[in-house]
Amino acid sequence: MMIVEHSSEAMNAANEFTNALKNGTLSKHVLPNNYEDYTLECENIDYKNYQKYLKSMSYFNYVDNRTVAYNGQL
Amino acid sequence: MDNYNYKTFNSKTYQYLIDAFGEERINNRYVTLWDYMTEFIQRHHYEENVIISKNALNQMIIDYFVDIDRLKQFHGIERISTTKIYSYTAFWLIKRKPLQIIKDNLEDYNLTFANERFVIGYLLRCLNNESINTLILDEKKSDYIDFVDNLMYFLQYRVITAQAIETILFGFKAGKAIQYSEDFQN
Repeated sequence: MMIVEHSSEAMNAANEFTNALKNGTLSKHVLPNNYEDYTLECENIDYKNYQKYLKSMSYFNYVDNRTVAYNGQL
Repeated sequence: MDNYNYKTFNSKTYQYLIDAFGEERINNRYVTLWDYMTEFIQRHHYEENVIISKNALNQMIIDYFVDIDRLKQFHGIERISTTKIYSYTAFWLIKRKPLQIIKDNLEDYNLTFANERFVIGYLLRCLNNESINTLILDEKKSDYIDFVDNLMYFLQYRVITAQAIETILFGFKAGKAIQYSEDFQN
């Protein structure tokens, strides 16, 4: 293995970094563990609502016959 | 490294998805999405033009659950918000495109974007939740139509991510919250 001599500045910075990982100074932003369960029943209610939505005036008026064409903006 | 061993994870099969989410939940998601798409096909009279591709839907379901599994592991959480469920589902539906055209109809430009149009109905239903029959006031119609058109355009032509869809859903919910609060205070 080739031995490379790193600068002490780099090594100190790397040590500071790994210490921050270990002591929690640098920590993850995590989502809360308090969301409600999306149960099979919730899923089935959503599906029933989708069935109704397809038959609604809202779908007919705002989605059904609307077409969007490419306007050059990606 | 001693505390973490990637080799203990069985990467050869997707059994871990069944272990993580349960067969019933995965099954239910599959049949529900299948039925959603069947409703969409019937609603638009696409029976002769479009089929549901099992290959594509299988992959979509795998990708969705793998994605959510990684997310849960990273955050160390058991459940995710419904907003994430809707947005990740929408993203993978568009990515895998389970609705496949088997017979062209060049008169119907919207057929080209069957998957995107299916997803827009799916998302708008999620946004409106149970108030699906709410009619928009005349003076506000153009705002709503702009939103629907922009969302359609986004899904059809732009580079999408699940996170971008999630932000759209959050934005819509925030707008509703502001409106509700204004109405309540007046």
